[in-house]
Amino acid sequence: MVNSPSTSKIKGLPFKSILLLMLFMLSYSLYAKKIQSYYTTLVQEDGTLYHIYSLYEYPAHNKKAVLNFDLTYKTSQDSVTINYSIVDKAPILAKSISLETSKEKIELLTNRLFIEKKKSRWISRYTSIVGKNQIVNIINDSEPLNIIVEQENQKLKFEINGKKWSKQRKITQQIFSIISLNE
Amino acid sequence: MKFKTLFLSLFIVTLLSSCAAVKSPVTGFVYTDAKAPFAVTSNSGSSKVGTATATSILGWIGMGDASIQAAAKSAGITKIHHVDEQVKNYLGFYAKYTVVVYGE
Repeated sequence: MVNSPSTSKIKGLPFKSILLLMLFMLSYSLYAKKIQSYYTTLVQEDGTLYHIYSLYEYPAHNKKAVLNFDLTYKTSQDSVTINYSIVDKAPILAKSISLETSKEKIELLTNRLFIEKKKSRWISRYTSIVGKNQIVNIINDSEPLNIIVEQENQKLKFEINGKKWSKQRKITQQIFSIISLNE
Repeated sequence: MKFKTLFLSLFIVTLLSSCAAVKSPVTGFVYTDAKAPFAVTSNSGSSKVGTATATSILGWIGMGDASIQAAAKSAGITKIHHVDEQVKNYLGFYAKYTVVVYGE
């Protein structure tokens, strides 16, 4: 058997080494993903502003809608702003939002930021304010967080699985620990 | 041998094409996670942060609205203090560009 010239060239290249090196570097980078990539800070005269990026989409129970949220906290205040978006085939006219775990249930009034249509989906974005201690209590609970959005005539329940909640909880706990250490 | 040929072809195509690329302050072929300044205004104080994202897959599909307007709107910001940008890139297969707006 005589190899064709193109095959011989391929055989001569250390492609296995390149593949392994690339996979190693990528897996190391992903494994060692630093906590700073999950939040951002801004130091100001009246305190430090922390913003925790949205991490997971919470799927709706029995519905094809999803919810994601981010958190903003300023050290001079004792409250956290929770901004959340609901993506659904219809606009959501939310009146309130509830954050529920096995130990904590917090019902919050909510204000609309905007509702807009993108292709066939509606994005409904709202903002609410919650106490910092209440958020800390939620992230200290190992039971997954359930988010319930109340509309005029129906309630939408969004829930996340235990594995994702465990990761989100761990990251958020670390960030709030950093905040406490710097307050 | 088919796998080797396929991998090598993909590797060369990835090298020769622009891959999933977004503008970045630094280059990282395997992995990039970097932040950079984008704009500053004379407005003082920030209590809100808004983000907007655009993504690219393999350099073939690029989508999203990473405008300052979209980021400001996402947090109800009307007075912008400053704007940062954040870039993530995994092997040139997936890239994410995020604009972060701080303001009131």
